[in-house]
Amino acid sequence: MTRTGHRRYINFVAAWALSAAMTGCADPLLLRSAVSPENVALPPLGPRIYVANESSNNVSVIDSEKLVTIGTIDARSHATHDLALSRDGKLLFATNLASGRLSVIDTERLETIASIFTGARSHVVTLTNDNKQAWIANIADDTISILDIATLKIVGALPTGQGPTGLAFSRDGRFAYVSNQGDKTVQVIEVDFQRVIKTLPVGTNPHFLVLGPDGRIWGCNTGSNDIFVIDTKTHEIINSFQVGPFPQQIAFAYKGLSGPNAYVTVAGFNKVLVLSTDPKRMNIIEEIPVGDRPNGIWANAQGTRLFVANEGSNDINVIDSGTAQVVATVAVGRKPIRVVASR
Amino acid sequence: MQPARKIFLLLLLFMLAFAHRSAGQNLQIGQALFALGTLVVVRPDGIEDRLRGRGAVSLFEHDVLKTEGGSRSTFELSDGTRVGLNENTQLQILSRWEKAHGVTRVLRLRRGQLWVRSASGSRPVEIETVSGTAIVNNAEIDLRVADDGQSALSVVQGSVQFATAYGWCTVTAATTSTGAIGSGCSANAKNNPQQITAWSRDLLK
Repeated sequence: MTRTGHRRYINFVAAWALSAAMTGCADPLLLRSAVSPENVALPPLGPRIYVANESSNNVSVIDSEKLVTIGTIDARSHATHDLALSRDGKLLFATNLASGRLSVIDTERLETIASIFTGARSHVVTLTNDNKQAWIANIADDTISILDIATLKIVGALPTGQGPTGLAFSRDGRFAYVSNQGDKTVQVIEVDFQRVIKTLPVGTNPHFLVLGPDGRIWGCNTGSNDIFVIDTKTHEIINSFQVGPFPQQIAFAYKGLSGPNAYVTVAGFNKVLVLSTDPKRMNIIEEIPVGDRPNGIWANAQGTRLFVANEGSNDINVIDSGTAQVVATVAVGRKPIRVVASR
Repeated sequence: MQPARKIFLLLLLFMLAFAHRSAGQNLQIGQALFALGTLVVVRPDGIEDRLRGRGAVSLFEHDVLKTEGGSRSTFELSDGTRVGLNENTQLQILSRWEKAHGVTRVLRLRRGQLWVRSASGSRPVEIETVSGTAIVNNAEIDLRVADDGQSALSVVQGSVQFATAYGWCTVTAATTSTGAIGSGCSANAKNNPQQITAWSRDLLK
């Protein structure tokens, strides 16, 4: 080695070691990112399914066409519970019940890029319709934290009823609906003024809320075994229906010409129940056996496939809505709770 | 021994020492230094620690600091940022981690009044209230939150970003901006910094 080459070698070793020390030598995630340029253009993402695994503290990433796992993302937190995906599919937000933190995940690079404390037992996260804010319901704080997505700063908090567990926005984004387990209520919040304009009594242990394709808010009373439907013009409950023990979540899909129908995971039956969405003629159309303790459910954009997270059997079932049959099962992490899919 | 090998071994030792220090310890992020009356520090497991007079109570992430009526206190973060708590004040020590920026210290003011002077050249410290967040960078502020959630941010020195759900304001020295649930930050109004921070003066002696 020449004298110049020797000096270069010394400089290289020193720079490498110093860089490793500064980036945290015990953190392979950071080391890997340190050597991958940030400005490399990545190929567009194919359709994906993301599954929050509460007891694995991570998110499974599945190619929703090939139905193969393409990655697992460490949420860098504890008890990963709920998920919300940005409209462009580039950011995934994950609540972590045990740590009260929100993980922000870069879906192109499959890594957690931020972790933000929102409140004790952060349960669900929902993005505002303009995707500028994430609202996070904190069960043990009786608050909703408001996160500014551009800066990842908490910019406010709203008091709620006791134990907020579900959160959904109306189609026009003017109203937020918050279910409160402790109060057995759903609060209607006028988003522009951040004020509660109505409080609706519901059943025992109200939990999941979702905006339906009919523009109404659909919710589950996990403790009283029924689902309910809220009209977003009158903010009144227009229907409720007994479905069975421990209904968890709802998604909407078509069966040929019929639909959209509501698909409800009923954990106590190990089934998905299919209901008509006509509030005047709500009835069970069919029952689909799935894995152990189904919880999360999500339909693909076409409304032909449903992805069901079974928290007892640690897998997801893929249902073909046309035949009402499970056509595939994919293993995921421990205790999968929530599933979302890119558009 | 070759110079390259010496440098390599020295840096390796440094890295091992660094890794060892961060592996199994609860990272101290500051110290409570003084209390007129009593400062109560509630740990995440519910255990309470108290400071009366001068002392050095170690502070950790997720600790809740409380003063009751007639008590005031001061603490210092590891980066040198000084914080004073007026009476009837409660805050929690939090953080945000970002891959791009590392750890940002966050103080969530649940009730009462704080005085904060950030350390020169340190990373910004953020003070959250229910109606907005003050981003304090090379500045001195007073922040008071009322029972209804209205926050009054008064800047003594420097200028501070006040982030709310409705937009951001830049609050300049010797002015006050207020934020409330359901509205953004108000226009800056002139204030008297000496008067506003008078309550904190005897904490800094």
